[in-house]
Amino acid sequence: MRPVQNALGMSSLSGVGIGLRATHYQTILNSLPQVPWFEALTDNYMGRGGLPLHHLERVAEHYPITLHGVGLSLGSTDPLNTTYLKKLKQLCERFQPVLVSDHLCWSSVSNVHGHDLFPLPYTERAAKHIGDRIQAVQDFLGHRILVENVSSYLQYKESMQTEAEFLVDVIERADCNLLCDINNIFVSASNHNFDAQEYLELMPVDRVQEMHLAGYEDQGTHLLDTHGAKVHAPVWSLYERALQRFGQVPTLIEWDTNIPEFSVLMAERDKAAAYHADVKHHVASGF
Amino acid sequence: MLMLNTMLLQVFEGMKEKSDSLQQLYNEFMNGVYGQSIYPETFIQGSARLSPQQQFAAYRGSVVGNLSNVLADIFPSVNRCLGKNFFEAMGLRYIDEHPSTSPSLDNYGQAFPTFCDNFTPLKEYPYIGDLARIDWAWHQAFHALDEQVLSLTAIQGLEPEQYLALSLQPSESLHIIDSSYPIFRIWQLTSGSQGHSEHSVTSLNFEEGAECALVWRIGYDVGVASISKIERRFLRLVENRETLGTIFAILLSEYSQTQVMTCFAGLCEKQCFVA
Repeated sequence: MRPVQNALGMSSLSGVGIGLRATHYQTILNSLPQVPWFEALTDNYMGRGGLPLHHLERVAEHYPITLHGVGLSLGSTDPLNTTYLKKLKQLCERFQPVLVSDHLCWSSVSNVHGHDLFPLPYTERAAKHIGDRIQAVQDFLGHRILVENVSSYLQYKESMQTEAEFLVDVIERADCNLLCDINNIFVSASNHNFDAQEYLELMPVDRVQEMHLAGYEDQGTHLLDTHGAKVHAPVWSLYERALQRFGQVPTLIEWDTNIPEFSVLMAERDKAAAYHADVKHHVASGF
Repeated sequence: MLMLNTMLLQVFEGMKEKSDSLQQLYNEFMNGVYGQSIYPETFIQGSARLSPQQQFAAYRGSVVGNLSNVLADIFPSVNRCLGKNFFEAMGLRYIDEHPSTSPSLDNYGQAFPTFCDNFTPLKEYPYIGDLARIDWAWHQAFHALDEQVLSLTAIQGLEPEQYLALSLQPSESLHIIDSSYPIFRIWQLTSGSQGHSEHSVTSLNFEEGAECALVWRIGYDVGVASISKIERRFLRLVENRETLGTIFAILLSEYSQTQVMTCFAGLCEKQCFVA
């Protein structure tokens, strides 16, 4: 087991958790299922009050919580949004998340927001740019964050590095940790015709603090990361390989569209937990 | 806060020079995402299976689909009233004309009621903008600050001088929607709040005229109600920070003491005021 220490030094995290979604609040609070932790979507709790924060408060009374956001726009060229950062810090102080994460992407420019995970061009200049911004976020929050690799559907002409090289470059520059999304690696590898296992081999073991599993949709011409289906067979295989390389890193089942009954997520969680329990950690070399 | 701003400004200034070309790329990308004509082939590589235009379309489709879903979630009454197809088509126009300017999706759609007022295909349905205002107020109330309600008993326990000098604090969640149409009844028919209704909006008698709707939080629930002229007047005076003594003096020149005190007690029971 590779438990992960709380970003604020308070508690640790292990095993396979589930992404907390509003449609499951009552089921979770009524039945208190055997789930080691839940991951809350940061951006759903940015309001001043109301039912979502009340429910998160109640869930956090029973389970460790991680916060996973989409709104930092780490790769943007706009100044970091101080209002968003302050709210994120308030959420951290209130809920004491074990981990805090966002994505290796940009989502806003010139104060216009796309609310999507747009890829960066993979260049040294872009790596330095986002690395500096991640450091600024970490300095403000007072602890490391995790950045997640995103699924992508395009490659920029100006890219000079592979996605994996760019990711490692950013992690080193920012001194941050990695949320390794196994489904996203598979989706991008399929869309851009690179080897997903080689990608995994490049990831710095000691920086991988969490993994994500989700389902994609095959559009015929490309794979679309919908988070709206069960984890596909090749992603389970890649997850098995990731566990062998990274060890029993805390893992999350994510489901964001066409969200099914909680029992379906529990079945996926149990399947991931079986992989998680069986792992033999072969490689322990960091960078 | 000053330190934070200074620190972030320094980081930003340091990054500015190297980010200029990035900014140019991002602006081009974002313009395309929000429907402007761009040339993706100038910055996207393309693949054997997908052209640069097709690759970019995946992002445009994702953004528009996401924002379209957000509008449908925030404006359920308007969606039901107009029907899914019309609402989606109108939403697409709104999205391209109103790019999001906040990192929080909860803030998206603020201009939608005014957009409805001015949307030419809706000129025969002039109440839709006010219906959207109720939906938006509901959404705002749902996420409003949790507050300590001020009870009528607590107010009545004050000394007479304190009581009359009191400036009531309206709940942050409280919204008053003035309409030239029977908007609360339209909302009832379109919100699903009364279950299935065989009455359509077109069955309403618009000659019945103006109605004022109140939207506010009761615990973690959101209430929507039609309020009387005296209740509206009372709440507007509270919003203007008039003291209870002044409010009573003004209202007693227009209404009976029984009407004024019943109105005051009713608004307290509704949990409109906070400590």
